[in-house]
Amino acid sequence: MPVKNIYILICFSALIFACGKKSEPKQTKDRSLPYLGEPAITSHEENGKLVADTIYPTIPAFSFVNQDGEKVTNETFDGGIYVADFFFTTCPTICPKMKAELLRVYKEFEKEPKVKILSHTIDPDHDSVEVLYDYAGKLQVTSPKWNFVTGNKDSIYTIADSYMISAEEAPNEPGGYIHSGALILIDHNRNIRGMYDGTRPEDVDQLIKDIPVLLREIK
Amino acid sequence: MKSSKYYILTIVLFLLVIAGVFYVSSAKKDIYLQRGKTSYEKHCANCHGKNGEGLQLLIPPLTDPKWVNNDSIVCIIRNGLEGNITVNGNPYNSRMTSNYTIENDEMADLISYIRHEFTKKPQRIKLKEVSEQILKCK
Repeated sequence: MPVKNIYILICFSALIFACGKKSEPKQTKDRSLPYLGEPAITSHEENGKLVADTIYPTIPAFSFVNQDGEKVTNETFDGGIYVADFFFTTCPTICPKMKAELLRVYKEFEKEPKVKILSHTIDPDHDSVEVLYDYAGKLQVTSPKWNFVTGNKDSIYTIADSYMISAEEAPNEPGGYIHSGALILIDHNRNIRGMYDGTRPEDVDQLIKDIPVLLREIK
Repeated sequence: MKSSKYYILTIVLFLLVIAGVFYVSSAKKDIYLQRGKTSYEKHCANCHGKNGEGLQLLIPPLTDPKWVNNDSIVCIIRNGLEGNITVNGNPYNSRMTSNYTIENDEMADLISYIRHEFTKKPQRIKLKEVSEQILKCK
């Protein structure tokens, strides 16, 4: 009965393949997120000995205005974590994709008040409070969960540096600006804990898995 | 015993030939759709989404046959679009940019792909139809 044997062989190998494909997902329980950015090494004395401290960069204090005309500062995010990004409403290239991906994050954590989103416009001359209000409305999202902020142009570009994001005016580019499509994950101490390409669904899947890991650090 | 073996063999061969015929004909049909897919992902997917789903009320989906199966779609892709429109019953008014770099033959593959993937009654558009329509664009 060679045919029967072959069938059995095929069934077994199919079974083995089906089992082998499943890779072990890393549990959130024993996972922790890295600190990003160039650390400053300082030292302090402890019992007469010099002890080194590694201090990772934090996002400095800021103050912008959101789509509802409300002030949004670093204190808005106290006690929670947030995802930051940089965009502009008339962006014809990567922004819609980033926003579609961020919308997944928004929906996933809609009921978790400790998770917020902060989208900075890099075109504040055009993107006024009214324009941002209209944009958020069409995206069908609301503050305080998702803040679209505008403000002083220099302040926005300076804070972009703190988030390790490059953004600049580029008259020859479509839309007039070039900027990174990164999503930056900030913890409750304003440290940078994750960088994700907001145009890649796999990256954003990772972000969605990382957020609960970071939330466990608060409390 | 021997005859039943040949019988099975004949059936298997017959099925293989049928599968082969289907494969070749579908591959032929797939070439322009494959090119259209590449073009779609390069020029359109960033805003309209990988599956033509659009983005909330910011960017319209490409599933409304009223827009997608109308040959004026050629002009929209070429020249962009501005102002208030209604797609699938919802209002939109974002600005779509122009695309002067898409040649007519690529445009034919692109539109055929969009129709094939996102509408229920796909109508392939030929290069000749694209070229004729381009002349009518305002």
